[in-house]
Amino acid sequence: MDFRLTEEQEFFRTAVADTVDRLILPRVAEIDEADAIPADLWREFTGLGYLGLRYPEELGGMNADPVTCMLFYEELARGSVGFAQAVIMNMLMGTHFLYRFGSPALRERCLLPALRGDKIATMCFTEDQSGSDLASTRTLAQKVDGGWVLTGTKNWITNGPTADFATVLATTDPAKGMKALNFFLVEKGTAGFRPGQLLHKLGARGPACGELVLEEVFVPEENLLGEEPGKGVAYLGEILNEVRCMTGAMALGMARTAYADGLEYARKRQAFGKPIGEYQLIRAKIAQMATDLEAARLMVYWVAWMIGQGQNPRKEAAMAKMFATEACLKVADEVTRIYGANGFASEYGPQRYFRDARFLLYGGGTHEIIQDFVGREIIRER
Amino acid sequence: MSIWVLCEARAGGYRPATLELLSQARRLAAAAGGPVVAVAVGDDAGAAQALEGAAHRVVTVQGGHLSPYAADPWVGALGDVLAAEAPRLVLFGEGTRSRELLPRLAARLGAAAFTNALGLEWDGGFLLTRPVYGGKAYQTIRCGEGTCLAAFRPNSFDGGAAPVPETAFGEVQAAAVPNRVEVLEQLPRESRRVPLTEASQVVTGGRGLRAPENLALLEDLADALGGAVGVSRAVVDAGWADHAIQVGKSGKTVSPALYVVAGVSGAVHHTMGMDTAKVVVAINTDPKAPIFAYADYGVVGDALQVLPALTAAVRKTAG
Amino acid sequence: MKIAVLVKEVPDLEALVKVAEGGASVEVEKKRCLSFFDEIAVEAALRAKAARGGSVVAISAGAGTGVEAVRRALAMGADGALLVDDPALGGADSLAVARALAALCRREGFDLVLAGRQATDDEAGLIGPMVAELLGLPCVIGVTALELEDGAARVSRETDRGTEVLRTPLPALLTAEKGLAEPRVPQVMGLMKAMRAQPPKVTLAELGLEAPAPTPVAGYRGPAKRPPVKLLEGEPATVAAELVKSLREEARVL
Repeated sequence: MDFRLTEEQEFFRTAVADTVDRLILPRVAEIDEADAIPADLWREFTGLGYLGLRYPEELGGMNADPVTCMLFYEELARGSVGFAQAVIMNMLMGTHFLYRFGSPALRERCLLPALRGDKIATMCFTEDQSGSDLASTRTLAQKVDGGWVLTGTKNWITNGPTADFATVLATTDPAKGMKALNFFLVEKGTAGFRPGQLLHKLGARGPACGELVLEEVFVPEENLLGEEPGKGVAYLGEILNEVRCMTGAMALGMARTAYADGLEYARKRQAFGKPIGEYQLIRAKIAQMATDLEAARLMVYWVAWMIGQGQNPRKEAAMAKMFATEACLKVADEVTRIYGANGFASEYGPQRYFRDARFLLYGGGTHEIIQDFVGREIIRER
Repeated sequence: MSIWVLCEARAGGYRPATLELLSQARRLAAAAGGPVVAVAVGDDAGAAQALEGAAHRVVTVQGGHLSPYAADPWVGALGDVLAAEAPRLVLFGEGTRSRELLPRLAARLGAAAFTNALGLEWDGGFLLTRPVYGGKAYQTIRCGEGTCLAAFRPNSFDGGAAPVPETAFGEVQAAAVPNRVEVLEQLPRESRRVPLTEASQVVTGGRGLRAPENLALLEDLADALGGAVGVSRAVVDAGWADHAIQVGKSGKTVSPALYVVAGVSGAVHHTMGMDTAKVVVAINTDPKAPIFAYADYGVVGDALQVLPALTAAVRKTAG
Repeated sequence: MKIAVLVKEVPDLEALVKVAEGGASVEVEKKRCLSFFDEIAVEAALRAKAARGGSVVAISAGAGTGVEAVRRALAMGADGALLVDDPALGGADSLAVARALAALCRREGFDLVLAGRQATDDEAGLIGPMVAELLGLPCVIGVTALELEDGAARVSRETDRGTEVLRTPLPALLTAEKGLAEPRVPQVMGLMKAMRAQPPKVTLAELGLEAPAPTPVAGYRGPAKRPPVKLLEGEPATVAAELVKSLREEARVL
């Protein structure tokens, strides 16, 4: 087995890492403290053309393989988690269904600007009463002459309050559960569509997050994204592995930053006459963190490879996300311990790594749902 | 087999770096068995009499086109002289002039060339030492039999070698060479202080000084010591000082005898002249600060209080 | 206008450097990149092209090195790259490298040649002016501002004594100092182009040059280890007096 990245992938990763170091690292604290994405940074970064990474060259993309994409997500999250979320929303979840099913007019008006960073995209699934349980989606889509009328409230929408357009999950018949879900494209400015309450988060701060309210929003027929009504969940399945793997890659990037910081501290900080890294308890922590990260890395990139091979690694993608999440949470926790009291101070990184890592418990599916999913897949296997 | 030194005039005499090189040349000349020749070009030749005793021969290179200094005519003039005399070694003090002249002369003469050096010895051949990889290692080179041009950092050598009993003075007229580069404007830097790259004492400050006004404390100490002020990259990035006094990788290389550094934690590895400074004094509030690992003396305290106290103590012993 | 940028591939500033036992050789971690000042020169070249039209070619010379350096230049937007690749350049001195670069530049013919003022691995600052001399070009080193005019370049630079503004006729060779230009971050399209690039390579023989003798290195040593720091604590006035005494009598630097 050849575990190496190709020369092209290495080159790409080095270039992205360098870009992150130059543009993003200096602004990390600022993004976290202000809970906002600086407009100049967004413009500069999106101007580099990365947002089209997984889309074809005709759209200004790179048609990049999944491994290359994961390298990108990992490096981005190594820089700033909030910034990474905003970018990835525009690159993946917020634009995929538009790319797959959007009419030429919609693609022209929404997709192309989003890939340039000129428009903000988002994806709306979660509601107050339904997160993991998609079947209990209450946002209703009623068929009317020439289109659909959407009513409902979405919550926990990253980029929601600032979005120029949204891919909204709505049901045509609540009684039919998973079989009646669809994606609709709704543009900002459409009558009845407005941001609602803002949410302030513990971590992964930066992109605006909050409610999106749909009060009898009319959208024309072409805004139903998909070939057939009711196939929303099936379409979601197309990118679910990728989204879970991506979340794992983000976990890796975040954990790397935390780990590197903790390791440096252990090497420099002195107690009782020597660096604390010379003491067994600290060494044990470092050994465990390093091992967990290596294992997480192998899982994430193994899944990325499988996706690239055309396989459908549902169980493995969920496992990778699960494992990388746990690894990152543990690393973030351990690094605050290595830092001692300094791990409790706002002025150092560990408190941010700790807060940021918590988002992994919810993003891309809750940790518990993921675990349950893996368990069910295994029990059902012959 | 002769050792030549390019002499640069400063304030009625010659640069301390010039005198240091002449001193080292005299030390090595005895063992190497060859004369020391001091060469001064154009306006730098004005104070040539001051070189009595510093070298066995003093050669002044004259010509109307050589004043004021310009690279093209000087390369032409020195190129002709060196080609005719074929010295074994030609020593320069690091500076703008050596950076302009040495490489071009080497290309013209087909000579070996080395810069940023800080050591020169003789053991049957000349051995030259220079830092590589940002000072993470030092390389020693054995100069061959042909002409070798070498530029050395200021303060690399002691200036006190015994003078020679007799000095012969000679003059050469250089053929006129056109100057292709036109000077449109010259804006001299106002400073009564010695230039940073030459200074024997350097006082450097970092972001730990907390506010741009506190850079004045560095200036006070530098004045008391008769040295120069430097700042870290962080200070320049914060807009507190100009890049012209930044020390470090993308700034100036310094090689002082005494290097005082205040308000720099040392968490980011920087050479900043510390690798070749003879004595380093670090001032920091944190006794565990990494900077102390690079220092000979460390003062644990607030730079804003220690710097003025140090300035006062220096002035007291001087006065 | 045809613009060349001479670029050197150097070890990353954070690369680990280890002197071998006995000092015969030195081992450097294989993390390589485009030298800091050369990157500034590439940016300046791209802006010159934007202002006056033409093309930018990145040129590098070495023994199996140079590809990373020119790839970065291509990623930033350089139109092409050329490499002198010859094992004889391994351990060769600056003049040998300069001769190779000059021969290639002479073959291609450029209106403007840019380079960094020095490389970060040896801080020598020799290549730029050497190449200028070999090509018979006027040369200005350490340029902090560049404005192109018809057939000439107007530049600013810092010297030991202050700032100068100069004009040189073109063609000329200029070396870049920090402040001349802020290097752009490569666009993804540039990265793609660079990743796929296979820059043409030439050997010394193809340039009509003989293999040079290597620089006669006598040995290496690591940085001098300082003895443990003498820490002073207490009232500033007392500590200061104690320190001055030590500097005067013990260290003998005052």
